[in-house]
Amino acid sequence: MKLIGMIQDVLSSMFKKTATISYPLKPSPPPERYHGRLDYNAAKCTGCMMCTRDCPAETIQIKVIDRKTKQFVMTYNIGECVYCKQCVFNCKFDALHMTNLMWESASDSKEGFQLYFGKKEHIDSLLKQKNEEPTA
Amino acid sequence: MTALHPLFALFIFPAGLFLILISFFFEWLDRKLIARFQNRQGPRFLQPFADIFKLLAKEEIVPIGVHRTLFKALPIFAFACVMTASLYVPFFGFKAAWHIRGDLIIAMYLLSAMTVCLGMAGTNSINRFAVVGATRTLTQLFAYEGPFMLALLMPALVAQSWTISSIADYASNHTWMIVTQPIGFIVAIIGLIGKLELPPFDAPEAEQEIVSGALSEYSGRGFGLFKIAKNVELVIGLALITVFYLGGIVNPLLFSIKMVVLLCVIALMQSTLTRLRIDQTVGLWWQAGAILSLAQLLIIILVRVR
Amino acid sequence: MTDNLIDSNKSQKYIVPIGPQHPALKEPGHFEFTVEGEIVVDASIRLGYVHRGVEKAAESRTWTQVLYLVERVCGICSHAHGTAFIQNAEALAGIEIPPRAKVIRAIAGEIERLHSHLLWLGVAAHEGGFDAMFMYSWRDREIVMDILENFFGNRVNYSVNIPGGVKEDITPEFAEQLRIKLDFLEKRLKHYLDVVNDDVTFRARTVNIGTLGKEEMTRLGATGPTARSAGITRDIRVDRPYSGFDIYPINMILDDHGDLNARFVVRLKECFESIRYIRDVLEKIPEGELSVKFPRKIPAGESMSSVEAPRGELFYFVRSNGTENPDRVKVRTASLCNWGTIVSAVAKGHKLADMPMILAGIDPCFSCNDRMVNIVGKEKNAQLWTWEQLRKYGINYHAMQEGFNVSDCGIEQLREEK
Repeated sequence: MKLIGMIQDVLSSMFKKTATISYPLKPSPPPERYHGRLDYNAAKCTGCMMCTRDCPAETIQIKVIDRKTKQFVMTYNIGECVYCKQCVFNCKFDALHMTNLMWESASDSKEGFQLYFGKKEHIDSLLKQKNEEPTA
Repeated sequence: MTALHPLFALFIFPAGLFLILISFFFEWLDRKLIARFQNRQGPRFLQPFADIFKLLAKEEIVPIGVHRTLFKALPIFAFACVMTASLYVPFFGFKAAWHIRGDLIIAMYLLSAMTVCLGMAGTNSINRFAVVGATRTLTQLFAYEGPFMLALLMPALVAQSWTISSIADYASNHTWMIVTQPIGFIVAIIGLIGKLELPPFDAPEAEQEIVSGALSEYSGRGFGLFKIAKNVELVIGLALITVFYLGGIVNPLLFSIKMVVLLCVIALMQSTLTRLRIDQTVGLWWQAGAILSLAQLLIIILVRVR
Repeated sequence: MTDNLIDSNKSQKYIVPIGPQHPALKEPGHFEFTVEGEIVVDASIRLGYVHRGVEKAAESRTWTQVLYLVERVCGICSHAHGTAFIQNAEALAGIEIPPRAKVIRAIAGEIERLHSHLLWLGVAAHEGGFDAMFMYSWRDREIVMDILENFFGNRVNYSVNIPGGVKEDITPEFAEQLRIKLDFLEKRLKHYLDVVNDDVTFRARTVNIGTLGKEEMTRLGATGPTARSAGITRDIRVDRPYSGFDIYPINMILDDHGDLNARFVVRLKECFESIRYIRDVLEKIPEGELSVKFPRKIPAGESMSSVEAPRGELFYFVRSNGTENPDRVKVRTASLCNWGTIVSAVAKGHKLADMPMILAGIDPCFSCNDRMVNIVGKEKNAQLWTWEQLRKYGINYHAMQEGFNVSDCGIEQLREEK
């Protein structure tokens, strides 16, 4: 029977580095397969909407600018997303994949969390449309 | 070292303000050591200072139904007890601010009075967690008080005086009493852990069972004063044991090193042992503690008589 | 939620409430211990603070969406919930997932068991005041969390399952890293087992505390490591093997003391068994694809499945009516069965100071709990009513109060229209 079971742990820790990660002072990169922000390739998208049908948070949306010439804008809210990767798995055309970026996200407004992917002029027109709608 | 002017010694150095500041340093050292023993980083140097400062500035909430005057007066009373006890204890190689015959008894009485204040504070708050905590505080007081006092009185027996300053002089001139009275030293160190309600004897303050024990209802200034009183009690306890068992009054640096070594031993015990239940604590003290201290007493009497 | 019968003597004794906000509890639940001095005389419990309506929400989502919803019932056993649900859906759809997917599911389940038991070890030690073991076991748990993050993408709720198989693959680099980390973990776990068996102050807090014999445990319906610590041979992975466990079996760990120390020992030994299993299976993962196609509409039917979550037996019942959404999902978690062992049997006669460790000893997971409604009838002619009967009764009663006849005013038609 030992009197103090953890004595060797305790004494040897005095000579080892602490297990604390000094996070803001030292950079802490995420691992490769970490579920981070989505990445969307508008050129490969066909507008089949399979990604939106299975999203548990119902946050990803494909806005159709012009279906014939394949102009789409994808938008989703990184606050609502649960980072499950089901949309990536559902897409048969390899238009979506998940990076490991944007794991520290903070914004000072709710709109900051809504991300838009696509050509710049389409996104601008979408945003203008959104601002002109009467607020519900 | 020559004695300083009594009022200066009382209010500024080495008792009074200096003592309060040093108690912050000791609290920081205690927390940092425990953290390092648990392989984590621990607080920065000014953390206890920031804690107490914040507490003293916050609003004090007095629950309905308690005795208001008693509620507000008890922290001040506890703080006063502890600071008065510090009058007679020599710190850091300087003579005590004051000395009269029998001041060892007075100092020990005042330290126990502080624990009784804690118990009263707990029973005064009508919160049931506080009442359970106060019951445990007072039960633990009955348990460790006997052996702990005996452990402090045995150097007094050997030095044939009840005055701390005389005992300190005796201790400086003879071999360290840790060598001549090892059992007494062990009882004194473990008794100090019990007095300060540190693990493994922190059943009165068990966070998982009774929120915060006797002090559950205290907030703001009252709580801050209780915390300062507990920190000062730690310094006084360490200083007393160093003076008695580790060679009396010497130069300040050596004295501080001895106090820090004692603190390391206490921190080691804190971080590695489980909390004992209150009945196990009482059983341990009344059996093992009493036997050890009585055995030491017997040895001293036999040696003296011969 | 079971209710204790009201005792007229209760008001004279001293009641210590613990929760719903309390430093001891990481999740909300309300316990009331009636104490005399320091001995607990009676105990009662009230749960339901974390009810989120998961079963109702599952009825309006597609099968894939329900999989992710159900994974978030509990953070620690999330893979077990996902596996149990999707096994039901796959059984109803009549598809068989490839063996590689089955084995990857089993491996993920065992890694989850490791991290859950390490978490529990720290929390139970913390409840007893043993902060050193708390800090060290959670430091070692970070290794398991890093494994989960590196290869499944997230620390909790890592969503390995998809309907029809798994999403991520176990590459040889992953297998190599896993082996190195598992070796380190095994050394640390051996050290913790030594501490649990040898440390004097720790044994003073756990040996012969919370003892419950085998017959009592069987009567109260305990499950999981709590039951196995009293010698009851009940383990879903062995009795009714699922996913990878029918290809490669696993052993059951038993102990027969039934006290708190036995629960520590059983859980630590289960960690060893999991490590051995993972090491063994990593050599022999069958080749193949990761998933098969899953239909959007599942044919009608009912299905049940059980899974061994780290806490015990997790049971799912699913009913489908042929559409894209399930018709009824019923969840019964393991922690609910184990509460009875504390409240009915163990609490009385123990000291108040032992309560936190005894409560932590069954490994309660409050988020899993809040689902079941139990109606206890005291008289012999009490009957159990369904929702429809209650509703009819209510309408009739109030109609009679107001003084008009129910069949006249067309309430019946209103109900049919809905």
